[in-house]
Order: sequence, then structure tokens, then C-alpha cells
Amino acid sequence: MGSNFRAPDMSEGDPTVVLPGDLILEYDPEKTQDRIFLGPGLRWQDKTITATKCGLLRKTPKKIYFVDSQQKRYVPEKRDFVLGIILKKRGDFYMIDIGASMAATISYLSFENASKKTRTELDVGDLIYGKLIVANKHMDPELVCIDSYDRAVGMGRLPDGGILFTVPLHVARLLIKPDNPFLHNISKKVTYTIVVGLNGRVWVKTAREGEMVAVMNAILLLEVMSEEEANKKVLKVLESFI
Amino acid sequence: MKETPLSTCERTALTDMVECGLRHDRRGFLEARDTTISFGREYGSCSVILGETRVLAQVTCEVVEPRASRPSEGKLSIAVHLSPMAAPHLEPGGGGGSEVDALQQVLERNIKESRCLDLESLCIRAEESVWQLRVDITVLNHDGNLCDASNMAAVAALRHFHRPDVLVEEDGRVTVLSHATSPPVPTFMRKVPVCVSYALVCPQEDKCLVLMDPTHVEERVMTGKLVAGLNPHGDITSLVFPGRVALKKEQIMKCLEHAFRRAKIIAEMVQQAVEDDLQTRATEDRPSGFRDKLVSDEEYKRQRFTHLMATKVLTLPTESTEAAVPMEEEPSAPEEQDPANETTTNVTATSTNGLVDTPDDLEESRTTAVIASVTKTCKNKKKKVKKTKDVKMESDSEEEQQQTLLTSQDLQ
Repeated sequence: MGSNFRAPDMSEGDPTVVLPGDLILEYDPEKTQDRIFLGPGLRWQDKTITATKCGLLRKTPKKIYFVDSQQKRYVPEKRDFVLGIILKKRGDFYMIDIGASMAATISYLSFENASKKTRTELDVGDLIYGKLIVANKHMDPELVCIDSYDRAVGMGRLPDGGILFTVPLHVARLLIKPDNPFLHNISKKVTYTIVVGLNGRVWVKTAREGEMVAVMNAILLLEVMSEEEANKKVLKVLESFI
Repeated sequence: MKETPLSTCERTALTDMVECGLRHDRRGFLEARDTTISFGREYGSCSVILGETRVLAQVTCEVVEPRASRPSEGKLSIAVHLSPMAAPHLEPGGGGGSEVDALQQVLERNIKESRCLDLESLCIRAEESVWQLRVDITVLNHDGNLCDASNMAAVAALRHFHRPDVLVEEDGRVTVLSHATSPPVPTFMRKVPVCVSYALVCPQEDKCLVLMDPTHVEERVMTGKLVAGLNPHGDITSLVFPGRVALKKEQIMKCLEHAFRRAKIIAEMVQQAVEDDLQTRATEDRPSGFRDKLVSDEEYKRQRFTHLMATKVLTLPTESTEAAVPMEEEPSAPEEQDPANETTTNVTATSTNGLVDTPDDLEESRTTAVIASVTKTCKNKKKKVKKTKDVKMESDSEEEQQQTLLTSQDLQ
């Protein structure tokens, strides 16, 4: 951390509560070599970073700062992986609902191996897992399904036969937290494929319908329980279904 | 704000699961969600929680002039408010919207037109002043099956309501007495109207499964719906059947039989809740109202999970659909496709909202997918159809007669 960081103690385990307008830290990219990333709930203006939401200020080891708050409505943020539903086709773009106030767009060229001749055909109602590359208040959000090397790396249209459900945003973040054993715990009982969008949409696929409902209900546990409690109870819930 | 579009994934997942005999919350097909009825501090304020659906009903009264056509009857009006608070896709302002209209219509048929409330007892002075009761129903959270929840809330609120006593002086002046000076007068409600909704989900063309108390997702996926307004005494006050489904007569009868059983339970529950609250109210100086009774969504979900963990699912019916399918399940397809049977088996189609299919057209096209909306009202007492369990015993010809009667009534 540079000397210009005026933030409250931001050690890993002990997040601070911030309110909208709270000064988090001063950051001038010209003066310091430290590069940091801002996630949801923070904003950089006039060389200072302030909070725009109330919640817990969190920081990851990779210097990503964000405010962890409980909300259900998704606000698009650049670099977020989201799950969208195709709304309609408009010229060279598909309109996609990502649960935000505006529909997002995706160009038919931003899929792996797509060219003007071999375009990916998507139908209305299909599910897309993609990454936001444009997200600001003046423009429609834009998704891509390729990384900077033109590879899909798991993004694209999701196969048929899964189940889609919505969870609050903090649950989605909790699920993909690398050190959270929750998903591993589920996999002790059920073999499944899961896709978690940061917009709170979760897609699960298993071999049998019953297991899908089981996994869905297990994940919904996180909505009402703390991480530790849910980890304890997840197997019980799964067992009650299977 | 627009409603989130329904993805193909959600639709197929739900229908596939229903086909396997499984609902998302592991309920049985004919199992309702937990229902809680609680009363506020005032008379006639009632909140009903049906799963995650929450409805608040409040009854108010005022002295008005009666209608010229019915000089000795009080008035009853029902207003439904659906705001973005209930679900973000609903328009603010509450006005308009087909959902509000449909809901209001069902409630008016069930409560007002069934004449379960003795309006004559609301008369103060014939031709001069009567009581007007107004039921305001506010949907606080929309998770499907608003009809059942708001009907229950409205009825419970009306039964719970006490209007102030009045003093009519010799010169005709009417003084409304406060609750402190004279005890309030309870409303007199003869019957308990109940509304029971069934979602009809068709995984395949010729197969139709019946789900009771549908959630919002189920309501979005369903092909059709059957909303029956009835009371435990055996009267059907309304029957709405919108959507593109063809149901066989027996199926509808089975639904109605089940609805009557359910109506009995709900009616008892409502009566019990009202009586209990009025009793505790009599002993307390200051009723606690909703303060201690309302359950938060989080608490409800927690309870649901605890309940889930406590009860294991008996057998997960993955292979045999037959085992999972409740009695309401349509027995088989071939009969339905039999053209000879068709005219009699399909409930004669009438107009839905906007779409008008005359029976003649249908006979010509002989489609199995019938846009059917049968609406029976007992507006006209002569035509009031009494359907009880013994209806099965009736001969077919009689039933046909009934049906023709109903159709002619609908087409009016």
C-alpha cells in the first residue's frame, strides 16, 4: 500500500462499514505505481475514491476493492461475468437482458470462431454467459463471449437442459469466492455443472431433475444463512432431496 | 420497468420437473404453501401470507346514500392495489393493467356478487343513509396466486370488521358513535367465500398436469389456469379458465371436488383466525396488531429449509411418472383426441378477454387446443348451479344441459 492510502484498516479479515460518500482513499495514478481495481460501490473522481453504496468495504489480495452490500438489482460493472437472456435480434447485435435497468448488447462477432459468414445463431430466450466490456452510465452495457485472445474460455451460449434461478447479488459473489468450500460440499453428493453470473443468476445442470432442484435449494440456503451455517447444513438439504 | 423475460431454460426446466412429479419447492402438486393470517390493531385490517406472497386488506366504512334501485341495501366496494412494491414490473399508480382488472373481477364475483355479506344489515335509514364498506387490498409481495391470497385477506378482513354503532334521532339525523361510547357492531357474513387456483402445465400436447397454489414462476410457465371461487356450502360463485388448454369434464370436476375440500379447510382457518383474534382482543386493552405476528421473508425461508431438512422426500419419482402424478392428472390422451367425444368432453369454449371464439368456429376447426374461459356467476339466482360431490352421480345428459345453460349465460 502506498503512503497516500488514507483508508481505514483494510486487512483481509476485518472489513469496515462504509456509507455513500465516505472517503475510502486518495489515489492518483500519476503519482503512484500501484495499480488498483475498483469493483461495485466505489467511484474514482478528483483523485479520490469514495463509496457510492453502503456495505462492507472489501479488498482482495489482487488489489480489487469493492463494497459488499445486500441487494438484488444488478448494476452493470465492467469485467463482470454475467448470465443474460436473449431478448431480440437487432441488426448485428443481440439484445440481452442481464437484470440491469438497461438491456445489454452483444455483437454476433464476439463469439469464438465467429466471422461474418459463420455467425452464431441464437434464439430468443437462450442463455448467454459473457463478460461485460462496456458498463457506464452513458452507454448501453456490452457483452463479449471471448477473451482478448479470441477464445471462449467457457463463455457463450449455455446448453439446453439446465435450471436457472436468481439469488441476491451477495450470494452470487459468495458462491464464486475461491476459498468458499460451499460448491465443493455440494459436489460430494451431486455431480453438477454450475454457472454463476455476478448479476445474481445461477444456472445448474445435473443428470437428473431431482438433483437440479436439490442443488438449487441448497444454494438458496446461502440467502438466509451465514456461510458457516450453510456449509454445515448443505448436505442435510441435499440429502432430504435425494 | 419491464418484467425479466422468461428464458427457454426456465420454461423447459419447470415443465420437465413437473412431468417428473417435482416442483421447485418440493411441494406436492396439490399442496398449498404455508398460510398465515394475522390481524392489525384496528378492526378489519388483515394480512395474509401465502408462501412469499403477501397481501394486506383493510376495511373502512362510511355513511352514504343508497342506490335508488336498492334503497335498503348497504354498499360494498373492493379495490385492488398492485404497485411496483409487489413486483418491479408492475406499473406504479396501481390503475389499469390486466392483472389488476382480472383480480378485481374475481374478487367482486366471489365476495360481492355471491352476496355472502348481508347488505341489508348495513342499512341505517332506507332511502337516506346506508353504510358503505370499502375493502382495500394491497399486494405487498407478488409470488404468484394473488387470487387466493387476496380473497382470503378480504374475507378475513370483512369478517373481522366492526363498524361503529349509530344513533338515529327522531328528526332523521344520524350520529355515528365512537367505539368508546358504544360497542362496535360486527358485520354479518353468512358464508365464507374461498378462491382456489390451479395452474395447468402441459409438458406435452396431450398431457396436462394440475398444480395447486402456483408460485410466480409456475404462473409464468403455465399454459392455463383454473380459478374457482366457491364456498364450503357447495356453491360455485365464479369459475375462470383462461389460457390455451383443453381440459376434460372429469378433470374439471375433480379439480372442483378438490377445491371444495380445500375450501372447507380455508374457511375453517379464516373463521378460526377471526374468532381467535376477536377473543384475544376482548381481553387486551391495546391489541398488539401486526407487531408480533408478521414473519419476515428470511424467517419464512429459514423455516422452510428447517422443515425440508426434517422431512425426507418419500421417493423421488424419476422413473415412474404415474406414481408422482396426483389424482388430478389426466388419465390418457387418446380419448381426448377422439373426435366423437370432443364436443362433449371439451368444456364449451366461450370468450376470453378480447379473444372471441364462438362455439361454431370451434366445432368446425375441431381443435383440441381450446381457448376456454368459462365464467359462471350466480348473479342470477335461478341459474345458480349447485355442484357438490354427488354431481358425479348425475347423468351425462343433465350435465350437458348444465353446460349449455352455462354457455348461453356466458355469451350474454
